[in-house]
Amino acid sequence: MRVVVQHVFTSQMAVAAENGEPAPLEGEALLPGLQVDRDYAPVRIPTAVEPGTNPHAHGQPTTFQTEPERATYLVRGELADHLAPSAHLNRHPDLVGIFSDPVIESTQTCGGDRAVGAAADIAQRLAVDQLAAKGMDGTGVALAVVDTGLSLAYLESVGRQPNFDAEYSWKPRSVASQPGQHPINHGTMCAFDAGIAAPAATLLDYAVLLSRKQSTPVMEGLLSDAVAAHGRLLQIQQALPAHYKSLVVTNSWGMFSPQWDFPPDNPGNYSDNPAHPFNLIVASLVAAGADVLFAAGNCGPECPDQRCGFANTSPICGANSHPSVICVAGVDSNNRRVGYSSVGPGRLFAQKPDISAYTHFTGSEVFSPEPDSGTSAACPVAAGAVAAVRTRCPASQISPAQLKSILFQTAKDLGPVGFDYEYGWGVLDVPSLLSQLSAAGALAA
Amino acid sequence: MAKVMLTLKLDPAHASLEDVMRKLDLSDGQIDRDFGVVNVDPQRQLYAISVETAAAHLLSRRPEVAGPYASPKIEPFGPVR
Repeated sequence: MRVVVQHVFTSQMAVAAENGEPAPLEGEALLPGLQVDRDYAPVRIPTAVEPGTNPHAHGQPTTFQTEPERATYLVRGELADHLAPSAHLNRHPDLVGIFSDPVIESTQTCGGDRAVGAAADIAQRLAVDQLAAKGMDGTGVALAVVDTGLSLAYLESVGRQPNFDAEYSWKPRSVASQPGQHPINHGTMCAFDAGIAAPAATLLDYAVLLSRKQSTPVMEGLLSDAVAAHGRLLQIQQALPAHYKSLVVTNSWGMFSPQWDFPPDNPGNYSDNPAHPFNLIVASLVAAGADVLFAAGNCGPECPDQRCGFANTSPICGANSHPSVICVAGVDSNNRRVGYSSVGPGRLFAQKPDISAYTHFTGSEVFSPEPDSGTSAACPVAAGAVAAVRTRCPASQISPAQLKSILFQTAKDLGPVGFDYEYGWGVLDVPSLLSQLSAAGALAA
Repeated sequence: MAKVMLTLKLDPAHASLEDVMRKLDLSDGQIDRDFGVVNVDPQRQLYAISVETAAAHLLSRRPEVAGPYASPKIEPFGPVR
């Protein structure tokens, strides 16, 4: 076990602390079994002054003695076994105390935290260069962004050259702005993030989240608008035009509270009910050959979005938890789960989320100075990678269920071994995915 | 007026809005024309419609109709607040 020991003043110790040199100690003589860490210079600890009390008691100090000879010194080391309690009682007179030195980790990324990396870092994590080298950039793949609508002008202003299909885009009748010309908002961020791995995909714009409230900070729609949108996408998938190899659909939205839904015991409930029309149409769309991705949500236990109202019940609900879809959790570019990423189990299918992808990076700058964040960003990042793969592996060759299985098998495992409710099967691992596709002969043509 | 969804089985050749309005005796004000008739499960020939809540409760008594189903509001999962 790792420990830190607190040592009384010696002139040699003070010099070592001052000069950043190894502790001048023989650990074994000080404490049986102690090996001193020679890479860790002693740290001088000022002594609290509180008249009438033990000068080493750091209860409620008011002033400190900072002179070297009145200080104590921390030295780091390792004990072969757990320290017996008697060691504290019979310790060497030069030892002031023996303390554990537990592993500490940085706190998880939360809403309001600064970006962890930029779009270029995410491209590197996704091995976009390897995808591009194999001609996998989304060419000929339709990528539907079901969200607040896209601003093509904005995407072009930040250096993107998006392909766009107005004919196959759609909006609710109540939305005044036209596909590709909607206000700059969340959907534009999603399109940018999907473009990291699939810059040549053709964007389809489905502005369902503008149907009820079209102003910031919160845009919203109704689930029936999403039903209508996916009905249109199902028609497209059933008669996929020859110039499209595949259809990929990204959904970075959902419910923040069960109060918005009928209660679970109501047969018209959405969250827990596979017979709900939206859950049916999503299953039908995947069965017809589309890859459908959903964000896991932002109700992770460490730092949930303030809108979350699921209390102790699972927040991954409805189609976000459907067995047919790919449910995407969020990790930062250091492969650490962001604290707001919802954890499973899912309500329709327990084993959710499925995989993790990157979020919380400087990307579209739609919400600048806020990063592209939320599982909202992770979902299109993953969708872009799927669209890139579809460039050479269309659904006619590898079904959505098969591709999903390969994604799971090749994901870089994070957290507990195998599937877990925080990371799913792990973070998307493009090089491993490409290796497996290549080994299976899927990239031969 | 709040709306909810219903599902019903239809012959694809007779699945227009007018067909459904006639079949279920629905008036213009009761059915959501913008939503239309959405095929949610082609294999089972199952379709969804969106109707005004009061009409939905009456229709739900009919054996060929299922629902009413919730149409909750939905919001983007970001930026995190």
